Amino acid sequence: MSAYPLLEYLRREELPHTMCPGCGGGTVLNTFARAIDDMGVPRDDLVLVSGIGCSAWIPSPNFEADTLHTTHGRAIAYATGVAVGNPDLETVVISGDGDLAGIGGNHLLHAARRNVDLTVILVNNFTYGMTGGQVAPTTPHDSITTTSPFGNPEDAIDISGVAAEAGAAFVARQTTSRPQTLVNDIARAMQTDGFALVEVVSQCPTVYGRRNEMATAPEMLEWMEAQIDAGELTVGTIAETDRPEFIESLEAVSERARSEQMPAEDAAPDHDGRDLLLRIAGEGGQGVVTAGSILGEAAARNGRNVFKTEEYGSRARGGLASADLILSDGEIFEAAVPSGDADLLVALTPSALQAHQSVLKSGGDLVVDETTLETAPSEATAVPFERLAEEAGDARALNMVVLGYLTAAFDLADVGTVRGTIDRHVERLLSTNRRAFDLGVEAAESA
Amino acid sequence: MTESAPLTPTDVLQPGNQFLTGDEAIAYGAIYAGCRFFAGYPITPASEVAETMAEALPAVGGRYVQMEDELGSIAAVIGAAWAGRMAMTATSGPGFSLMQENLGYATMTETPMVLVDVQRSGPSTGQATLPAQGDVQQARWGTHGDHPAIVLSPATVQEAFDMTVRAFDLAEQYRTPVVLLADGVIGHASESLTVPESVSVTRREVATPAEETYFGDPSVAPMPQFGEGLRAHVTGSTHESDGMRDVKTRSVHDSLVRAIHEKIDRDRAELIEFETVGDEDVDELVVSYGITGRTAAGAVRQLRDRGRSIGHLRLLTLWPFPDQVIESRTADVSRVYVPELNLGQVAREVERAAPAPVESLDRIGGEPWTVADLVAAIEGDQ
Repeated sequence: MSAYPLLEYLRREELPHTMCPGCGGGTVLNTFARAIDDMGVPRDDLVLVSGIGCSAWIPSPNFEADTLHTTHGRAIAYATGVAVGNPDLETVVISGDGDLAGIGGNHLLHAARRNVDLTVILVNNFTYGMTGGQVAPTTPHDSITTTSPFGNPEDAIDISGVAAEAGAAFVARQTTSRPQTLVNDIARAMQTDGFALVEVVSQCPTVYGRRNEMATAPEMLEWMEAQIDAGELTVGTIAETDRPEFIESLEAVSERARSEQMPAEDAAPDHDGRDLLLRIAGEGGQGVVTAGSILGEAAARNGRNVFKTEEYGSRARGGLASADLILSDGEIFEAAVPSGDADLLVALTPSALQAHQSVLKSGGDLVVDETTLETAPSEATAVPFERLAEEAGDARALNMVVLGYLTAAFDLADVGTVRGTIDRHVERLLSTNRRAFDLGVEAAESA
Repeated sequence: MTESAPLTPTDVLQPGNQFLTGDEAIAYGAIYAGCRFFAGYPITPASEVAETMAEALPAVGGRYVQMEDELGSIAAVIGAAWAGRMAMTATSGPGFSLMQENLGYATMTETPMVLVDVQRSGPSTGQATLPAQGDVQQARWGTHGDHPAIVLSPATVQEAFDMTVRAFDLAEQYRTPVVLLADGVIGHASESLTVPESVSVTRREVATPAEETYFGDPSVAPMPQFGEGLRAHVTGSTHESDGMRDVKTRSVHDSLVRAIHEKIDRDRAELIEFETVGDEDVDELVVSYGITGRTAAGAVRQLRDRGRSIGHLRLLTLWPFPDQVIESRTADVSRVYVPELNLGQVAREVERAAPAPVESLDRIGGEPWTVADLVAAIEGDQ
C-alpha cells in the first residue's frame, strides 16, 4: 500500500479520522493540504480556525498546524482577532454552512466588508450534519431533512453572493466533484490580500443525501455536476475586487494617531482650596458641562480630590444641563451631590433655578445671572455673567465667565492652572474665552 | 508600509494628577498594563472605554477593532490573545449576557483576557442609562458548566485604573479571563486620580516545544503562542494536557475542570483583596463593594463619629468570594449590613459565610446610595 503523499500534514496520532464514509470533508482536507504544499506556505505560519459542526472537524484535530477550534458561529470573529493580533500569520477558517452562514452569518458579512486578510473555506453540505441532519439556511427548497420532513419551506441563501456583495476581495465556489480546480481556488484565496471566501459545495450522503434520493457519495457528486451542466450552479470565481485590506488600513490609522498626540503639559502647582459640593445648572449649549470639566480637571491637577457627574437632556440645545462637582482636600464618599446637600448652586436661567433649587442645602450659596435675579430668592448673589461675556466679545463665552468667577470667589483651584486647562481644551475663540475667564475672576475679586 | 515607532503609554496619558472618567481610566489602565488589542461594540455606559481605546491604542502600537456585536468582540479578543497580544473588551449588562458563552471558552482554553462590565440597571434594557450592581452573580455564574471566576470591582476612578492593571496581571498569571465589574456611576463620573510612572504586570510565560503540558496544570502551564512552531491545538471541548480532545473519559474531564479551579482556589489568599475600618471587636459590620463601597465608607465614618461600634469591610475582589474573611470578621458581631444596588446578590453570599444575622440593604431604580440614606437605613434598623 503506497503512503498518502500529504500524510505529513496530518496529526497521525489522531487517525483514523471521524468522518463518515463518503463525506466530502476528506476532499476538503486533501485539497487544502495539496494547496498548502503546492504553495510552500510555511506550516508554522498557518493558523486554522474552526467553529462547531462536522466541517469544523476537518482541520481539527486532523491538520497539524496551530489550531483554534472555537464556539458555534464565531470562527470568523476569532480569526479576525488572530489575524489582526499577528498579521504575519496565515489565518484560515475552515467550517461549515450552518456555522458560517447560519449562526455566524453576521461575522462573515462584516469580515468581508472589513476586508480583513483571512481565507475562509466554507464547506456547504446543505445541512446540520453533526446534530443529525436538520434544515439549514443552505438547504434547497423542498429538500427533506429531520426538521423539514414534508419539504423545506424556505429558500437557500446564496452565501457566495452575499460575501461578494459585502465586499470580499475574492469569492469562488467550487464542488468536491472537481478537486483539482478546488486546489487552485483555495490557492488563489490564500494569495488574496484581503477577505477571501471559497464556498465548497460538498456531500453529506449520510444524513442529507439519503433523505433526498442520493444515499451515496457518487450520486451526490453526479447531482453537483448535473446542476453545473444545467446552469443551476455557478462554479469558479464569483467576485474579485481590489479594496484596501483592513490591517493595512489599521496601520495607516496608527500613523495618524501618532502624529496627532497632544504635547506634554507642565506639572501644576499644589493648591488647597475650599471643600464644597457644587452644582452649575443652565440650558444645554451654555457650556455648563465644559465649565465643570475644566474646573474639575484644574483642581485635580492641583492635587485636590474632585468627583464630577453631569446631566443633560436629549435635546442638544434648550434642554437643561448641569454639572455636579465635589471638591475636597479629604476623601470623597458620595457618588453624586445629594439633594439638599449642595453648598453652592449656580443657576444661569430661571428654569435651571426652578429645576435645581432643591439641591441647595439650607444656608447654601446661590449664584445667579443678573437676568435671573427677579425670580431668585433675595439672598441670591447676582453676577452679570452674560453681560461680561458680551464684553469679552461673545455671549457664548458665558461659561468661561462663570468658571473665572467660581474659581476666584470660592477658591476652588489655582487660577493659573484653570487658565492652562482652558488653553488645552478650548479650540474656538480662545482669546475671547480667556478674556471672559479673566472678567469672571475680576468680578469675584471686586465683589 | 513601514510604521513609525510606537509611542509609550506615558505619551498618551501623562503620569501624575489626572482627572478622568472611570471608563477612560479603565482604558488607560489597560494601556499602561500592556494591553495592545481591544475589540468592542458600543453600549451605554461602557462606550467611552471603546472611544478612549480607539483614540489612544493605535498610537502605542495597539489595535482597535469595532466588531459587529458583543459575540464577535470577545471572540476577537480571545483570538488576539492566542496571537500573542494582551487583549480586552468592555460592555454592559446586555452585552455581558451575549459574551457569556465565549467567556466560558476563554476559561476552558485558559486564555488570558480582561472583560470589563460597566453595569447598568437591568434586567433586559431596564434603565439603560442608570447605574446598578446587578451583574454580580452573572459574573460568577453566567457561563454554563462548572468554572472559576476572578472578578474585581472598583469604588473610585483611581481603583478603576489600578484594578484594570491588576486584572491584566491576574489574567496573565493564571491564564484566565478576569472580569472588572464597574458601574454606570464610576464609568461616567470624572474623578481625580494619580497615574503612576509605570505599572508592574506578570509577563505571559510562552510555551516552548520542550514542554509537554499546555493545559490543565494546577500550577498554570506556559501558554502556546500561535506562529511559534508548537502546532498547538486549542479547543473548548474537554482536552488532555497537550490540548487534544477527549470528550468521553470521565477522568480527563474531571482533572481538567478541577485543575482550572485549583489554579485559582489555591491562591485565594493572594487573590482576595479587601479594606477594613474598625477593630475586630466592633459590634456591627458593613460589608460593601464597588460604587456602594465609597458611600458605605462615608456612612461608617459618620456612625463611628457618633459613637456607634461599627466597622467596615470593603471587598475589592468579589470572586473568589472571601468566605473566610467574612466568617472571621463577623464571628463576634451582632449584625452585618450589606448595602448594594441590586436585590441582595452579595448579601446572600455574606449570609452563607457569616455566623451573624445579615441585613440586606438592597436598592434598585438607578440612584446610588447616599451617605445620609445609608446612615438612616442603618440607624433605622436599631
